[in-house]
Amino acid sequence: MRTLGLYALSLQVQGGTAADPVVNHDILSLIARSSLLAKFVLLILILFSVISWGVILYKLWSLGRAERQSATFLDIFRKSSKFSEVQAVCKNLNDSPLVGVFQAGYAELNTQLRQSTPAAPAGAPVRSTLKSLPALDRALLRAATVEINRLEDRVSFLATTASITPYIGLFGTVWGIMSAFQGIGATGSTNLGVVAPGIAEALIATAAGLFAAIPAVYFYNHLSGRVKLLASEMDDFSLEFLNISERNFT
Amino acid sequence: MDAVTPILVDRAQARGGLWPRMGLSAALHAVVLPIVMIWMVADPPEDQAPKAVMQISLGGAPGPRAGGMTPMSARAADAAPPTSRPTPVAPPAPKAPDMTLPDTRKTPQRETPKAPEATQGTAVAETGVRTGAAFGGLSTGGSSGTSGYLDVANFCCPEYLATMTQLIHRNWNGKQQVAGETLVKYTIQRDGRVTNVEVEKSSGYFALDQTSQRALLVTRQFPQLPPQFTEGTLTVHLIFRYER
Repeated sequence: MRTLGLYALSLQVQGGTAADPVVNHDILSLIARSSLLAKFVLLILILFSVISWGVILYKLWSLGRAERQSATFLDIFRKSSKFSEVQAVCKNLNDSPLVGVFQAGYAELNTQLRQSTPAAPAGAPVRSTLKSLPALDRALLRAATVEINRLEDRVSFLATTASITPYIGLFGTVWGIMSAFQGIGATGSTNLGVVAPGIAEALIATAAGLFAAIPAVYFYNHLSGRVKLLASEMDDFSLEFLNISERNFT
Repeated sequence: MDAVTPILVDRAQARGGLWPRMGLSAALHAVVLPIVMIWMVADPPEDQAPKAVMQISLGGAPGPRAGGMTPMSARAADAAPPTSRPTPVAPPAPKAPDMTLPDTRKTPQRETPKAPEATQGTAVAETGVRTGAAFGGLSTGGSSGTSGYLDVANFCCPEYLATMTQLIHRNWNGKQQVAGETLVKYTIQRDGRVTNVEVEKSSGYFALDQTSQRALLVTRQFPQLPPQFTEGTLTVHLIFRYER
């Protein structure tokens, strides 16, 4: 709502300067003179722009955190010799998708090991074994799916914005040009001074549509690429986890 | 109960930080959009109209033809134009020789080719639709009359045309061996460049057409078109009249 307030304010500022007859081709007076539908289209486009930029900032922030924490987590995971040590660190690195995968795998591992060693004699060196490696694999796979869903969350809104907003803008433009031509037909004048303002006003909608769409396209591709990188990192980690488990617990 | 599922559910639900970014985005829009708009209000696109440039012509333009100041090489503006041409004194005719032999050679009768008999007379009047404004053209004699016209009606500035003819006249060699009229068409660009010089109606003599075209090609540059004249180019049809 703050946007709209300032927007209305800027319209009023323009209203003050519009008394000057020389300045009447600028963008604000064009918007102020445009029809209700054109204003509505502009409003929708600005809303799309605001939301998509919100998503862009959010995803840039959260993916950045995920990448940094994943790097730290991998460091710790490869240096430590016990899963329980790694598990202790997990709380601080909650934004990394690898942490989710690890926690799921660790939980599954613990469950299986507890069930397999109920009757071990105390003091004897016990070698606990895994019951089912495929079950562990499935647990890791489930966790990876959940993490990918988290990473891709709301990115699809950018794709929607990128494909819809040019059309909304085009709609506004076509409508504006239609009414401009109706005006020409009514006045019977084809003077450029009569025709041009209507068309300029109509074209603002297309400009606004592109204004919303172009960053959305760029950041959709950018963020998708980063999500893909994180996903492959997760697959890699799952296989590493499986390998370690197979080596140690079978 | 599976041990993995609660962990996954927890992780799927744990997310935050979207709404602060949404607010940041809204604030960014609230700042950037008004700035862009106010900037466009404060700095409207510059007027593309050509600036009026003061024309200072040296050498006495617009000259005696326009009734103004006089170039030093020409006669004074207030001097009376010569009323009649001085009649050349004819040299005495050579005396006929006293005695001559009769010419016995028979002069060959020249056969004139017979033209096809005209059966019916048809006259085609060449009117030349002259919609535009007319003005004085160029002539080597005193008589000028209407001998040039423009493609636009109501051209605003006769003094511009006077300057134009004056400039052409400087580069025009009007002393030719034959008489004739050449109609030349050319276009003056907004900045005064002369383009598209072409002979619209030939005089029949190559030399005359060439001289007329050359006058324009050498002139090459006129003053800018006057700012009162709104169109981009001015097309002129100019008659070069060679008299003996």
